[in-house]
Parts: sequence; C-alpha cells; structure tokens
Amino acid sequence: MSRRGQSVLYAVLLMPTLILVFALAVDLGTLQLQKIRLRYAVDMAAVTAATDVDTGTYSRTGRLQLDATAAVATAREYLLRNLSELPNTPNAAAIASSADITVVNYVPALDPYTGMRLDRPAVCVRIRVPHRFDLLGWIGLRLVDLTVAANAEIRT
Amino acid sequence: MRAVGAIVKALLTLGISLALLVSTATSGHTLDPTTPTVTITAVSGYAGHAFVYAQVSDATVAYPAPTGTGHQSPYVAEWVPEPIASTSCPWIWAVYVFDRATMRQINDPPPSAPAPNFGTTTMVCASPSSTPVGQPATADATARLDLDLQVTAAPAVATAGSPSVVTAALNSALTQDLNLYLSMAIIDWSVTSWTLDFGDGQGATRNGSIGTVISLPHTYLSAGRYDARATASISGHAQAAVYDRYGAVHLIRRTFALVVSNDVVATARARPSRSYIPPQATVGVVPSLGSGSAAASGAGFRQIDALRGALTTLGVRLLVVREGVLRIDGVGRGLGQSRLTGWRLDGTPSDAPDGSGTTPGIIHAASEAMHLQWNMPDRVIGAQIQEYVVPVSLFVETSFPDGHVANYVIRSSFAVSVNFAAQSG
Repeated sequence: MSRRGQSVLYAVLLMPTLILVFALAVDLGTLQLQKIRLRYAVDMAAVTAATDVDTGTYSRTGRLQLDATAAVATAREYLLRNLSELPNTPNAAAIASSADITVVNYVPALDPYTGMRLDRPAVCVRIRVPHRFDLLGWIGLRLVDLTVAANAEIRT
Repeated sequence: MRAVGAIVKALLTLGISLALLVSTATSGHTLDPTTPTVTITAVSGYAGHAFVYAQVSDATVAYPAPTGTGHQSPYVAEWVPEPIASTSCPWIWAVYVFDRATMRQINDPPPSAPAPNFGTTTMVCASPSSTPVGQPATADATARLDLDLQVTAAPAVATAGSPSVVTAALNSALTQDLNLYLSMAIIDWSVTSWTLDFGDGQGATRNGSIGTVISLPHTYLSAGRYDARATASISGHAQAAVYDRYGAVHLIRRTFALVVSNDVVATARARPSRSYIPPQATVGVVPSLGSGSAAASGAGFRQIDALRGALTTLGVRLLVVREGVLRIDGVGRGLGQSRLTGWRLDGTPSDAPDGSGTTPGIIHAASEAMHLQWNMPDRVIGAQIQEYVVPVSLFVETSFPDGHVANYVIRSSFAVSVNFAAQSG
C-alpha cells in the first residue's frame, strides 16, 4: 500500500471519531448553557417568592414566616415568566405548573431538593426540563432531563 | 231751760245705762289673773339629760268649754252636778251648751225625750263612786319634757387625717296633763342652735331651726383620744289653760330655755405608713412591615425577627412582670393597675432612611408607632449571634387601690434578630 493509500485509510477511519468529538463538544456546551439559564430562572423565581412575608403571623408572633400559599403562587408565576423568555425551552407553562415548590417555615430544616441546611424560612424550588441534543442524536442520544433546584431565604 | 234739763237728764240716763251694760258684759267672763299660778322649771344637763317641768295651779276649779280642738270655742257651757241615785253613776254632770254669740242653748232635749233629762242632751257620768260636788277638784296640772342627747362618732376609731363624722341626736319624751279643769302643755319647743366641740380645739356652731339630729364631718389631724361634745340650746313655751265659770278658756304662756349637752370619746389612731412599690415591667413590641401605624391590639414581644433593610413598624406595649403594690404598715394591701402613657427611644438612630425612622430622645405617646430599620445582619462574635438590643424608656402611670396615682419611668429594651437577605443554593 502506497503512502497515499495509507493517508486515505487514516482519513476514512478518523473522520467519524473527529465528528463525534465535535458533536459532543457542541452539545455539552449547549447543555451547560441551558443549565445556567435555568438556574437563573429558578433562582429569581425563588427569590421573588421569598418576599411573600406572612404579615399577620409576624404581628401576632414577632417571628418572620412566609405566606405559603402566596409564595407558591409567586414562584410558579415567575417561573413561567422566566422560562418563557429562554430559548430551547418549549412548553414553559407545563414546566412551571409541574415544578416542585416547598415553603419551609419551621427552621432549622433541610432543603428537600438539595439537602442544604436552612436556618431561616425559605422557598425551595425544583424543575425538570427536557433537553434535546442536536448532534448527539446521530448516535441515538437525543433527549435528557435537566433537573435544577434552588432556594431562597425570606427577604424583602 | 226746762228743755235743756230734760236733754241733760236723758243723756245722763243713757250714759248710766251704757256703763252698766259694759260692766255686766265683761265682769262675768274675765279671769282673775292672780288666781292661777304657773311655774316652770327648766333644768339644763351636761351629761346627756335635761328636762322642763311646768305646773299650773288654780283653786278656782272652773269648768272648761265642751269638746273642741280650739281653745277658744264658739260655744260656752255650764256644768251642773245632778244626783240621780244610780248605783252605776250616782252623780252626773248636766252640761248646758250655749252659742257664744247669741247665748242660745243648742242642746235642748227634744220634747219626746224621756225624763229625767235635766233639760239637756249632754250628760257626763263623773264618777261611779264619788260625787264631784263637794270634793276638791284637781287643782294642779303638770307637764314634763325630758330630753336625752346621744353623741356618737363614726368610725369609732378613725385614722388621723381621715374624716370622721360626729352625730348628735336629741330624743324627747313629753307628758302633760290635759284634764277637765286645767291643762298644762309644753308646745313649740325646738333646738335653736347646735354647738359641737370636737375636742381638738376646733368646733362648729349651727344656728336656726336645724332639727333634733345633726351630723358634722371632722378630721382629726393627729392621733389621740378626743372628748367631742355636742350642746343643744333649746327654747319653747309651756302653756296652761284655765277656764272661767262660763267655759271661756284663758291661756297662760311662759317661755323656757335650757341646754343639754353630752360627749363622746373620739379616738384617732396614727396614720398607717403607706408605701407604694413600683411595678416591674418591660417593653414589648408588635412588629409589622412598612411604615404604617402601630397595631392597635396584640401582645408585645421582647424579642422579634426583622428583615434586613426593611423599615419595620413597632407598636410599643407595656409588659407587666409584677404590678405595683400598696403596702400599709408593711403589709400588702392590693395591687395597682399600670398603663403605658408614653415611650422614648434611647440609644442611637437606626438605619432607617432620613425622615422615616424614629429619632431617639423624643417622648412619644403610647399609641404612636416606632419605626426602625436595620441594614446589617446580626453580628457573629465567637460563634455566637449577637442580636440588636434596642433601649427604650417607658413612662408608666400606676393607680393604686387607695386612689393614689404614681408615675414611673422604666428603662427597658427589646431584642431584634436581623435575618440575612435571600440567598440561593
């Protein structure tokens, strides 16, 4: 086999590997970018919900607590707003409505989604977002679920 | 001349007739003023008892007018004793009643009246066993007025400096003769003045028609036993009624005056020592977010949470740990009732924006809200969280059971735990 024939052979054998590495790099980058966007969306929703102070309980007990009903509603509302603005996040309404939201008023406690210790009343949020790979679909890896959780302690 | 003499003779005859008429008209109904004797003895007493004794004596023993409430009856009567030889009534009085104006008998018996009727319908059995004729009739009539004065002091043992009441009550008992021939009565008596000597150099006098009971308040300023004495000055009239033969009444009035006095020992003990133990209290706050007004209700808290960077409105409450105590002679006699009248924020200004926070050093009404803000979270020193401590002066008014009201300034504080702002995980 001549030198020329060997080069062609190498090219034929390495090209798919190179293409696979390229696709992996592109799709993983996209995945990480989406996770960061989702993290911000969940963070902001939790922080906004953490401002729903139960004023009646505050005046009656002197202790700060969250209005659980209001905080859950606020978290879903801002999840929907934030997710709707994200690219590659179809069906934001379904994600927001199915999000796990827990209001923790009795502390110290653990965040049920992250296991993080909570010393003050907090809102804990977790979402699951399906992510579709663009290039890795060639090898059959088309869809993964991204799970993002965040919490926010009571604040104004 | 003969005509003149006739006129003079006629005038002389007329004058003599008029003189005779006048003399006969008056001589039969006048009372010999020297005959009745009225004596009055008024005995004053200084031990609570006094009396008036009045007596009339009249040997004339004339007959009174018939029944009637007035002493000067429009009728006159003549009483004639008649023997009737009855076992139950051997003698009767036959009473002949005449109209005073016309002297016409008004109690004639009717023609059908059975005999003997003695020419009258009014007959009185004098006595079942003796005759009024020939016996000495009652020559004396008496009246007696007994006066008893009771003095009391209430309370029996008073507290020096507290009011007592000295009461004097005059009781009377009157006996008097109102009989067939003579009457002696005591009328129109009254207390003309009361004098109270409280025994501590002070006294009081009340003049005029006060009544038979008087109560005067008095305060003994120092402890001791005091002889409180009440004196009643009394005046009045004793009146005797005597009758002439024609039944006309003649009243003889005499005035009398006397005093009756009595005393009571009023005791005043030393005023007990009173002390007022101030209440023990702390400040409590009712928090709410924002710059609204203070919560109108709700119990206050000594320790609260606060959000960092948020203006917090605090209603100030008085938390009474132990009420004020009234002590008398070292013994607790009741609890006071305390209320918050105002408060003052001590210490340094909070982190509230200019114009929205409460300025230290200014006294506020109890209903005013305190506005504070903390921009930094609790400090951690040696792994220990250091809460904020807010000093407050409370202005408290305490009302004690005896009516004493005291004002106190109580220095206190409340603690604030400032939470961190939100964080994400």
